[in-house]
Amino acid sequence: MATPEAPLREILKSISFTRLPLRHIEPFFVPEPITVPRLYIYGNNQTKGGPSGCVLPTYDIECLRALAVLRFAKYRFDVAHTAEPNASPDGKLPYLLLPDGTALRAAEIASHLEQSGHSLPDCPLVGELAYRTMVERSLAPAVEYMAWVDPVGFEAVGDARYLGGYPSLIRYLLGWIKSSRVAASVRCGLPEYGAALDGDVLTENALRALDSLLALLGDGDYLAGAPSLLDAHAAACLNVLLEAPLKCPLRSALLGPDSKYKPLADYALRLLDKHLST
Amino acid sequence: MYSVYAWGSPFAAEGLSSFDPSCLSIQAYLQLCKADWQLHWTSGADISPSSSLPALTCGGSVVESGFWHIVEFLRSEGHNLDAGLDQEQVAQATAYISMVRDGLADALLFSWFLVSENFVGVIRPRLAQLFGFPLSLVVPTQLKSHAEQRLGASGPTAGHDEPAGADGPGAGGAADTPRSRIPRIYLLAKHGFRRYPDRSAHPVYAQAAEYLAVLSLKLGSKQYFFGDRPSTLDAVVYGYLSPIIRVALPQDTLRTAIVDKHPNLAAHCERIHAQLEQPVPASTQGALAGMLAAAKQSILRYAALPALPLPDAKDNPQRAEKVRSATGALLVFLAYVVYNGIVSAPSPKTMRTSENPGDAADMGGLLSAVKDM
Repeated sequence: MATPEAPLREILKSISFTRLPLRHIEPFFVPEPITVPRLYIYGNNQTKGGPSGCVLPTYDIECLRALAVLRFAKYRFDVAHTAEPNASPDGKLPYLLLPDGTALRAAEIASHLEQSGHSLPDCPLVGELAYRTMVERSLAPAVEYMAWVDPVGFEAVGDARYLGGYPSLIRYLLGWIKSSRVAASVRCGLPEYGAALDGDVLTENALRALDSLLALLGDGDYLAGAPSLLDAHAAACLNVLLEAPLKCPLRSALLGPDSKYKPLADYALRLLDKHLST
Repeated sequence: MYSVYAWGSPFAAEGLSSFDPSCLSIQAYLQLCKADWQLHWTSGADISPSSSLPALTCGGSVVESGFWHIVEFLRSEGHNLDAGLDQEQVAQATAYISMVRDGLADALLFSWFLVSENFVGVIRPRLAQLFGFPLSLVVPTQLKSHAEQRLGASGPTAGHDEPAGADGPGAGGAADTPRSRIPRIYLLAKHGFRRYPDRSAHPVYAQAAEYLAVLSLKLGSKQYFFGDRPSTLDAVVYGYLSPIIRVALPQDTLRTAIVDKHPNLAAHCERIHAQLEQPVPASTQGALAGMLAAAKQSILRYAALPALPLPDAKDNPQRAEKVRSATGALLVFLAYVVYNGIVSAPSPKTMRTSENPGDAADMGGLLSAVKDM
């Protein structure tokens, strides 16, 4: 698998005083070049599909969103699974590696699609930004909390799906560090200053967001009428909720026998089948 | 009668009854739905079960805290500003409220707490006046660090190489360039030690401009966001935009963006403000109680982080028993050691007279005790 070359040469060139006494030694192992852009995402140990029968490529919301955006834009690319985010320019997954060696962070993928002529069609929904903000700040934190902070969810998803490859002591430490960071970020993201971290409050916020999305979806195939960034993010959050082995009230609300959110669940599974599955 | 416990207001002269936008939104909601209520200013969130303000009490007991819980309670009591909205409009209102409370609030926090000129020149002195000594030394800094953490975790600065609180001359520029890897001290020496850099080009303002454009498009030329009657969204927009519009700051990029580019939003806030009476607080919490509450807040902030992703003791009583047994055994061991003098510190008299042959026995006893350890 080709790995991105560290931009050491460019750094050394920009800092003149490091020409002496440092020397740059040419790499003796040249990585195999890639011909098609490659998206690096967290993997998924799952081998068989969930309720839909399709295999979700990853349980990470950001990775799934980037994957959805690229698929919506009909951009030709490969998918590579990795558990090491440090190869990314910002140390986080996902990142997109281009054939010329450039590595793009998740935030730069949308602008790259525009420059390469693969941008998403104009969104007909007025206020799409408001809905997208609602999904990012109400729904996604609840899913992250269920996967990393809630003890049952951590054991089923955070520990088993992300840290399974590490030795036990390091796995324990990494899990605790990640869990603490997610808890701190979710708590800081709450609108009220000093609010305690409460899973019930996060669940209520997420259910309110689901109510809003349900009303927006109506009988349509997409939330915004056409594939959009809103659909990418909403589908990512909903599919992680549906396919990941989480035991939380949100999942019960989506998958309940007489759930009023069944149209949303069907919408998420439809997008998984059409755009996201491997 | 309802009682609302809210953060106090250092901007009473500007017509604001709280510095916290959530508290302002709830007060606007109560006034717009013409409920019978009174305001209590407090220096800490001790009264709130969720450790956050605003908190609503009725009949002397705390009923709800937090914006949405209070609104849903008031709706159940018949004070529903959204009664005339259909399902689609309610869904839109939820999304727009989230955009304002989560997205636009980032820009407000940045403008107040992360722009040094604004924080040092206006915000910190006003908050210090509000809370009084010694809270004036603690609370403004706590609010600033909360803003930094929030913007670093989920705001526009998340993922940037530049930290949320960076204030150097190179701050606010492109994130991932070779320039950004040059030590800040070198940049400061080259560009001069400017005290207050201009942060008007920070990406948080660009994102806020997008949010404001969406809000302005939604409002259009209407009186209120959903027709000719105020709704929850109007109360929230007033709560978050009026601190921006009414508080004059040295670097008022955000205020300029609203007043110059979206005058309909500014007019909307003035329209709502004209309908509201300036509430007179029924009580103000004292400095000592507020100080204790602030100390408790800072402790709870660390205690809220999960200690370990381990099962609860209630689910694993055997583990709790093991921990208690081990702790008890350790204490008993230490008590035995101390009681029997296995570990003891030599007295100064013993050390000074060590040259006296008569005291060699004491020294010998001490050395043998140390040797036996």
